Amino acid sequence: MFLALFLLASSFPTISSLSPPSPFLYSVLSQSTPSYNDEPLTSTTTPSSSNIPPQIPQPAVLPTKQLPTWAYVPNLIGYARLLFLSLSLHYAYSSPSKPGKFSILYATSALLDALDGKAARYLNQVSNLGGLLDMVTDRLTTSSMLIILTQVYKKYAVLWLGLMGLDISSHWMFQYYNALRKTHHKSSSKGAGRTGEVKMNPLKVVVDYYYRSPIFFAYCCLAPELFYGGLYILGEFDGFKGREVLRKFVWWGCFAGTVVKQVTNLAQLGEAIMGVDEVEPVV
Amino acid sequence: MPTTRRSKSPAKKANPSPARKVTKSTTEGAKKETRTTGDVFLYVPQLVGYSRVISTLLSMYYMTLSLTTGSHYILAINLYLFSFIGDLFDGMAARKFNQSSKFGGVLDMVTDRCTTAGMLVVLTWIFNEPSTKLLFLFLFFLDISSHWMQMTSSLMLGSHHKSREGNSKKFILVRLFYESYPFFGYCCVGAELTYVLLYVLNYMPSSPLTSYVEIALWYVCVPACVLKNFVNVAQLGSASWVIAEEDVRAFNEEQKKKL
Repeated sequence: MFLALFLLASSFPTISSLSPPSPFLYSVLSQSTPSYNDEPLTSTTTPSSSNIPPQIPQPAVLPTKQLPTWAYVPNLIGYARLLFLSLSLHYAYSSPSKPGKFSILYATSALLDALDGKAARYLNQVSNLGGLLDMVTDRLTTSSMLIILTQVYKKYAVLWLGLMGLDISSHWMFQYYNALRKTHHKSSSKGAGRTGEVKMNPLKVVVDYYYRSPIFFAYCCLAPELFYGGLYILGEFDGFKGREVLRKFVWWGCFAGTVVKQVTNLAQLGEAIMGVDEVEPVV
Repeated sequence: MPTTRRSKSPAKKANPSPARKVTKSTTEGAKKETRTTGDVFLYVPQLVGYSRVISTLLSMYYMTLSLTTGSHYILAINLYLFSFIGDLFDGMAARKFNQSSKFGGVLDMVTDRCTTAGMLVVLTWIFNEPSTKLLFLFLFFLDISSHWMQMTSSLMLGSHHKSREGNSKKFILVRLFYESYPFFGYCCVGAELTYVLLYVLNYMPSSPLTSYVEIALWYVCVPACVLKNFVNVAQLGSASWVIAEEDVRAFNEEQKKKL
């Protein structure tokens, strides 16, 4: 039963990113949500002031009703995610032959990932800190899973390490590139963010398709989590009911999506690398 | 560690030409050289960076081999040390050849993270005690998160000149870390050597040399590692604070605009 729960919940990490329509990486990294602009997303929820009679000007300090950023509910959820992740790893290492506690805690951490984005938008508590916390926690979660796989499948350790390196470096470079564009680009440009003509970039075509189809995108984001999680369970447990089903699901269902996700990681890494020195600094 | 310098002369925005030219004036004389974007990938510090990446990958391969046969550990650690020493040289090369670039900076940063991460993962394989494994795992978490937050917060600060983030706000440890190059060097080198020596001691056959290595490890390197990680925690805290301050500033400005 925990198997089903684990698989179901580990698929949640990116469901939160599907609402609003903007895809996961873009929603965290790009100009639409937690942004480094002077106008955060919260401005979209307020009515235009022309309809409201003139009010007494508010003091330019933190309104007492507003929580400090670190205490925002979505950020509290983020801290809880880290806590659950840490606890799950504790059990993964101290009782490796019984993945029950690990699975439930890891799944809880993943479930919370679905909630924090929703809570941020619902409670109007979107923040840069929250976006960054979410991003870093996701990287650490995926890395932890891969590190556990290096123990379970020692022969392929270099492969898991390579995937971990790709995950970290692609997201890091891409976030750096986006942050540079936002702080340095006065003209907000879509697409490549380059001055001058947009080159026909094969890498961009791949990424564009990835973002154009929500179902394909969802599949590519969920698949690696399910793939790694499924492999872990297959490697730890022997002869449980449904093992063959799981094996087929992992290889016929999730493997392709995992591969595509790595391709898009590479594409975004490439885009960031190409673009990073073309971002014009503010003179 | 390379420094990223802003170009003093703007690129030619009015005339976008197919070959992008970024004009930078060199420090030697008034001669102006013209470079293309493609040149950035062939800068000397980048070449050092690529060799670092390859060296790390090979080192990880041999470290996994050494799990089964204990004989590749010397090659593995030499490759790792080559990568580490390369880290010292790429910054120097960038300054010497006037080849600082953003790509170089972020390549250096990401390679550092991945090398340290790889080493920490290898250490989780070597030690059997679960709490020791977890210790290395949490050091990995701390390394990634502190540097990521730090990079983001300094990017954000770079765009807002009204920031009050000065050294006066930082903890004494962090201030010392940035103001004293010997202390900085001791912390960084000592931390890396801790992991390296822990790895080597696992495979080294017992000899009189072993006790010297152990003394070096516990009395010289481990304190540096502890200090470095305290600095990481402090930077994680201060960077998060800066980012939260930025959120509040943006929120307040947006409130003012509503009126």
